[in-house]
Amino acid sequence: MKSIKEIAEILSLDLSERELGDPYFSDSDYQSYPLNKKNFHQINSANSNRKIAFVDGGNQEILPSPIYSVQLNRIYFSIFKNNKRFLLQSGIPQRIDFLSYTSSKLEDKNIFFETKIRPVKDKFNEFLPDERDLYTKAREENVDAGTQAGMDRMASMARRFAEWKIAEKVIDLELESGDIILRDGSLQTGHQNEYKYVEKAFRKAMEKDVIFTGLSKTCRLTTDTQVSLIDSIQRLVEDSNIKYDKWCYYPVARSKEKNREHNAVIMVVKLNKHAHTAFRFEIFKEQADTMSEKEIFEIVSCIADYSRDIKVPGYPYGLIEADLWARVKNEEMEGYKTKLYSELSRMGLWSRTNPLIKIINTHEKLDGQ
Amino acid sequence: MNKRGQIIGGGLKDIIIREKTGENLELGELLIVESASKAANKNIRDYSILQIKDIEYRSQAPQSTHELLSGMELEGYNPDLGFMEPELTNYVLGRAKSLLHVQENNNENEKDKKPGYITKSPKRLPDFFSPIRSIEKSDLKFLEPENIENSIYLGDLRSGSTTKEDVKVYIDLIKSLTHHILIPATTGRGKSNLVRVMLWSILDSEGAGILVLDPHNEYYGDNVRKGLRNHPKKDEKLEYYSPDSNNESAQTLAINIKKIRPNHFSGIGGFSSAQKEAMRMFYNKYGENWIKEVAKGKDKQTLKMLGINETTADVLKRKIETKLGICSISDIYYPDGKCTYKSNLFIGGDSGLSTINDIIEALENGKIVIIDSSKLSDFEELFVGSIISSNIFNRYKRYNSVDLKSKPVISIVIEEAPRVLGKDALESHGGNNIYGTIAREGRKFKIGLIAITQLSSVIPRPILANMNTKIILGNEMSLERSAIIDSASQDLSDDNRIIASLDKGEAIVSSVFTRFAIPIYTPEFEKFVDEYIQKMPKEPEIEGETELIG
Repeated sequence: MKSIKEIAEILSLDLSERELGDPYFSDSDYQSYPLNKKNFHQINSANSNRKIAFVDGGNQEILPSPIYSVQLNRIYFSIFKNNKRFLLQSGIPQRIDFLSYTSSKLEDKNIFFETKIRPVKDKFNEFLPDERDLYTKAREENVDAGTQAGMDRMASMARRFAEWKIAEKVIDLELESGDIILRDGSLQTGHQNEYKYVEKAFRKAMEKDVIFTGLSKTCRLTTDTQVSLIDSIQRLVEDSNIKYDKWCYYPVARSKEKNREHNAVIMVVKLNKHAHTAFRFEIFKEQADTMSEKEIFEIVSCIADYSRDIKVPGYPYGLIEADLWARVKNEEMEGYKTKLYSELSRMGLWSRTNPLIKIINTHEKLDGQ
Repeated sequence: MNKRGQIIGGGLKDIIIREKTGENLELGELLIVESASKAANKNIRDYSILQIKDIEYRSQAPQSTHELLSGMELEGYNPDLGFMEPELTNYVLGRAKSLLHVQENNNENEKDKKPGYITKSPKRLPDFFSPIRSIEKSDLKFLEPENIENSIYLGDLRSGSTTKEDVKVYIDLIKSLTHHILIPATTGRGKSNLVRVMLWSILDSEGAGILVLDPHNEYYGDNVRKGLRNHPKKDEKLEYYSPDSNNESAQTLAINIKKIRPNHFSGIGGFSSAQKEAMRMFYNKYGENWIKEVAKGKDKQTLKMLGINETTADVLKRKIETKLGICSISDIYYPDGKCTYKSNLFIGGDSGLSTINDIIEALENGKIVIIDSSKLSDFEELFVGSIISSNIFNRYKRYNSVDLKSKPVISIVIEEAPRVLGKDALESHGGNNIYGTIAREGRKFKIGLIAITQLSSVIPRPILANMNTKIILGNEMSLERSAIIDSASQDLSDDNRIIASLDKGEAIVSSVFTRFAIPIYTPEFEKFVDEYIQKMPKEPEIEGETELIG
């Protein structure tokens, strides 16, 4: 097809013209470091006795509409030590499911979002966020209220808050000095009140001397020449003739003191010789600042030791497993949907909710044609 | 509880079990799943017996990943990759069949009573996600016979390749023998050993007389090999006949030809209808001397009077000569001809007149009679069996029901059964023989067969189906396995591979008298006898007489 060929040529030209550049952050709350081959550090086996807790969460919409969203949320964590699963000591539930109802309201010409949450089991209650923290102004959240994208983002708030809260509990009840907690994703906050939960989790980590880290499956960071940061660093490996099987590129950037939304040292890591890509990796800045480079690389080594599973080489096994258990699958949604729909029907509300669902569903129906 | 695995899906015929790592489930293994729903009632134990029918590898990782990893390792790439928690990623699934549902009632209010068992064909599934464990002796108490004296020991329960020596498997003596037993197997799978163990057990029982036609002379035993002669009850319950007059252990098997009747040849020896007709004409005319007269030969005139074709008479004479070894010579002293007997088996004069009767009496007295047929031809062996069987059949047939009830069941052990029960044997030369008759109607008169064969497929289906107990040993031939499976008392349609993989001594007992097809291992006869004798109570030693002095 001619158009495809032409687009491919444009893409090729664009890529070849771009220089690698240096890490770029649009706001001034980061100190970034120019790309330099001296920042590559070889990662060896750690031979460490540390426990590592892996945390991930997932959510899916049961009842969609432009003005409200009912979601099934799930948080999962597991702990490993010496490459073996570590049995939990505290009785804390390893997987927590809860339902959330997010809706938008107009008050004094402002649009607000509120979220009600209900645990699937009562014993999960203590691990869930405060509903008051889930009440927030659309403007402050910087979302386009009334759109499905905006609703999706707000509906995921409860799950994110719960992830931090559970991380805090895991540190408190299961981990000891020198252990590591690794959450799926960045350590950056995404919502107005999220910093409360993040700070609590970080304080608990400081208190117990547990290293708080995050690994992002995807990274949208770029360089100042608008090349993908991960891609730039990987190309630098080739250009600099770096022969390390496993490496840590450190530092990429560190957040500044005033940055309340993100408190981390950012680096890029390749955790296995056979990894198809490198990942963005972060350590809670206040901890990283007290650590020597050697200590930082040892933390990376510990995580690299868990990144040998052939299912996803170079990605920590604990996060593969956490993703599996935290993911809300379509087939389980059906059960919840049926129960909720029949309950709404029993209460005589189905005739009012059904048209709203149809508005959203039309997209899916067209996609299925 | 030693958890071997967990039920994760399937149906009654195909319950899927995830094996616990390292538990190594085996084909044919018996497993127990307890019912949680009944656990509330502590007096009732409710469980199902499952049997593994197939085992396969499974993995959470795609096959291509395995192939890649294997390639890296094989080609020496030192991949630094593998499976974290391999026991969760790669595992084994077993497919099992639900064999039996058991309810054990231990009601405390009935302390004096033994636990009661209700066994049912499985009609519902065990609880989803239930753990499974190995079978134990206590799970099989319902198999224990009420009266061991009226049972035949077949072997020990087998679960996969593990023999449960503490769980003995018996079948009811009277029922199983009258309803016939089939022992199908290829050579070297332990048929003779099984029969020897069974016969040994029958010597301990009451109520059965067994005629054993022993073409390899392997059941009685000798100075080198153990046999039934080593049984403590051999003097009262065992008789041994051999045509070999040098065999000192045996009574001489000699049958006076006066005891032979035309019907004894029925379906045996390949006689045509005309020849059989001629036999009857001779018998009608000459009575018990009819064979002698056939051997002497008759002139045309006499044959015409008898209504027998001259050629038919010639062929009959020749066949009698070759098959029974009887011929006639005429000389000046015996112008009418004198019979000579080539073998010691079929004789004239006054000898051997009581042999058949003696054997029948022994059988009627509940003894085992072994006939060493190792030196007999095929025909001679089957013919001797036919004479004895016909006589006993006719005798039992004449008993009224009250008398018959008090008589022991009689069973005839016949090796290479298709010789007399095969389609060819039953369909050619006009037909049925006494063995076929017994297979079809012997049950009514308490007479049965223990038929041993390598080729079940040549036995007609109705007869195969009439063999209500089948002790199935290993068989490599697919056609044979199909014939056995199709006529088994239990649904063995999934057992094809299990039967093919049976090792020497391993068998499956499929019977209308067992609640499920029971896997067994029959111990080696010599070892079995040694242990039996060791366990026997020792007779107290008689102290030397005290001599009184003074």
